Amino acid sequence: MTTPERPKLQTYTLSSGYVLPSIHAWPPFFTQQRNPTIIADQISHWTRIILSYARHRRLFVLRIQDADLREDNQWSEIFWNPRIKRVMKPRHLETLIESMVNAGEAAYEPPRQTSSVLIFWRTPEEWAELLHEWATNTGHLNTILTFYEIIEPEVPSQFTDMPLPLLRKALNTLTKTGRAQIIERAEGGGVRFFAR
Amino acid sequence: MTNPFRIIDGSLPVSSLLYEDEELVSSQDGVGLYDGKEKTVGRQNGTIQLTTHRLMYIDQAYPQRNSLSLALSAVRQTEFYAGFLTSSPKITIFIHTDTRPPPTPTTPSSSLLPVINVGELSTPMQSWVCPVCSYNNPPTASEGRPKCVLCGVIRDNRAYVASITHTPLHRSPSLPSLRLPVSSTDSPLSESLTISESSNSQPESIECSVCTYLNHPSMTSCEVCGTLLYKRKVPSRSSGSTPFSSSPPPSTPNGTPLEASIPSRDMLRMSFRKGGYKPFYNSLKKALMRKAWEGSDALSQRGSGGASGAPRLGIQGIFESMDNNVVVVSENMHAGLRDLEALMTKAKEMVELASSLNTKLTAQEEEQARRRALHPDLSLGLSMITEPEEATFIRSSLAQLGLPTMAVTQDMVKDEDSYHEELARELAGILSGKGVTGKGLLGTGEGIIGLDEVWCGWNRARGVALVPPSSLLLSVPYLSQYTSPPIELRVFRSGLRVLHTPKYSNNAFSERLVALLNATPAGFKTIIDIAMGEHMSVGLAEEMIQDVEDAGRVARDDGGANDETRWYVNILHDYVWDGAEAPS
Repeated sequence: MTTPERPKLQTYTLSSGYVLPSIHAWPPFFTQQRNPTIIADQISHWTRIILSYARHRRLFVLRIQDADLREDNQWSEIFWNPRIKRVMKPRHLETLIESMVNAGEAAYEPPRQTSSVLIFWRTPEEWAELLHEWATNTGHLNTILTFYEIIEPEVPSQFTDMPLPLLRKALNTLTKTGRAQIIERAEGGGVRFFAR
Repeated sequence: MTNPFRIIDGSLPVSSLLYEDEELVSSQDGVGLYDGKEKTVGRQNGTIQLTTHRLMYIDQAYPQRNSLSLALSAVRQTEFYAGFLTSSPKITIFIHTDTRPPPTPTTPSSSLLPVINVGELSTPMQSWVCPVCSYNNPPTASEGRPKCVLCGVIRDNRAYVASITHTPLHRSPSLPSLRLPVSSTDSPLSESLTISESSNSQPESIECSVCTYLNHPSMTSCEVCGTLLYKRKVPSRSSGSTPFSSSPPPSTPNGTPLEASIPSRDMLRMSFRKGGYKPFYNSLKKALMRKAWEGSDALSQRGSGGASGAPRLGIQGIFESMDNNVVVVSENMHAGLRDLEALMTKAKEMVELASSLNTKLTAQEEEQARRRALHPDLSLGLSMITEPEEATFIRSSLAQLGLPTMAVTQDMVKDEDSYHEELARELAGILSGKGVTGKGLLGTGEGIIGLDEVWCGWNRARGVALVPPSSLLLSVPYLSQYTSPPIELRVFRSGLRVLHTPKYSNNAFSERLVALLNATPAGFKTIIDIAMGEHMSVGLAEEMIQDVEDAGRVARDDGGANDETRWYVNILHDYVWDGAEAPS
């Protein structure tokens, strides 16, 4: 189908080192398509970009307001392509977010609204495993750790800046299998890990 | 008939000038009258009063002398002039000339100047005493022969004469509205009346035949002995001695000449110097349309002619008029439908005529072509050049109008299916242009046409035996059998139905579109570009592109300039991820 005259779409490396796929330079990629097949393809590619970029930049939260911003924003590097003058529209992002939530790749946070999500570039279960592994390796089993100690450690770890709701989701999966116990305090919660 | 003009006493209030069955409609002051093209002397500033029956001019300066009235029944036509610069707006009224009475030989002088004689005055507008019940009927403005309000007996002249004998006009209390022209006090009231009416300013007394007492003129019986007073005239010094004397020239008793006579022309022009002409003209036209004078006329006629003697009233009357209306409406409807049926029966003949004309023209054209081939030099003649052109023009218009053969109608085929098949065959001819001299509906270039256009074009070709849309839809499936390349029906997502040649099928079009987009350096085309390239309307192009989009072969980009949609070949499906893969 392709003919040589048409210029080939190129990948683009952002200043942060993230490599945008070549599809990001295809103008229809920024328009909400009508054909269900095309939409499915479009969503899967967008989801992949969002997740990999969030992992790259360690971004945990995505809001609909992040769309349609032609300025420096943590998300604008992928939602705005000044080289082809295309920008992500809020309505389009809303449907993207919705499909990500349905696929378990994001969760509305706070719940019962649709404009802000936690991005699961790691699922809560994966986070739980990492947490338990980290507690085991660092000798924090059977001792009480506050949430604050986990997400704002003195030495930066992979849990630094992790949103508290995401941490709770991860810990909740551990409590279900009896590997952790959440202790609620008025001044903030804590957790105690158990070995298996 | 009567002279439509009358002198009236304008010094009286307008309401007292009206007859019992007359109503004031409109009035306007600052009006002057014209006699022909010239201003009428003495009637240049007054008020025009429009009633249901009359038009009255009340002069402002000399209301007693110069006021006059005109019966609306005499109006033949009205004209309206809106005015220009210093010229005031005017209304011209034309009066029936044939209604003017021929001059009576007994009143020779009255024919010279249109002074009203009593004979004219008398006819419709007098109060009269019924000879049967002696009721003193009030004067009416209506024309025709009035009948007694009380007993319904139609007035005859005898009764009238008697009444006027006993109730002299200008003294009658029942006659406040009517006043003789000032000049007419000098003239004898009527040659037919031997009334003892004095012609000078002093009223004449009536002498009793029994006791010789001189009674007051208004008395009908002697004041002293009660004898009935007869019209024995006491000779007076100034009046004409015989009843048949001619009228003296109109002049006021004190000798001043009459300033304004009654208009002699058969038209009256009113100049509206203070405006207000428009509403006045409107109400004048309304009053003329209403024909109030005729209404009572007809009533009296019906009363005289009908056995019942009175118009039906009450619920019975309402029912009767409703029944009449129903009858009239149904008659009108039947007459209208008869015309339509006649047209339908003639339809076949009209189609035949069109086709015969067509064949004649074909024959003529062939003959001319042959002749031209035989005599090439003749074709230089002017007639030989122009004639074929005319023929082609007629033919092309005929081809647009008519079919090469007779239109297929339901009675020509045996059952429904074959009817639709025949229709499809006919439609195929129209679409492809085969058998028709003109270009087919599908033409040579387009190859795609909306079903609505097909229906319109087909019915135009059929002329009279029209095809309903349902028949078109039923015959379309047969269409591909009679056309090559086959013409198919296609229904778009929006519900739009088109007929198209294979070139415009979805597959062919999408292949063409993808190839076109791939060949474009920028990689995209707008709808307008595509529509222009495919020679179709933008709406149709949009429908077709949407079908290609539904197949997933093109993708849209709404982010372009002017918010127009750009179309790209869909590469998402075959896309292989080439972006960053963050370490997990």
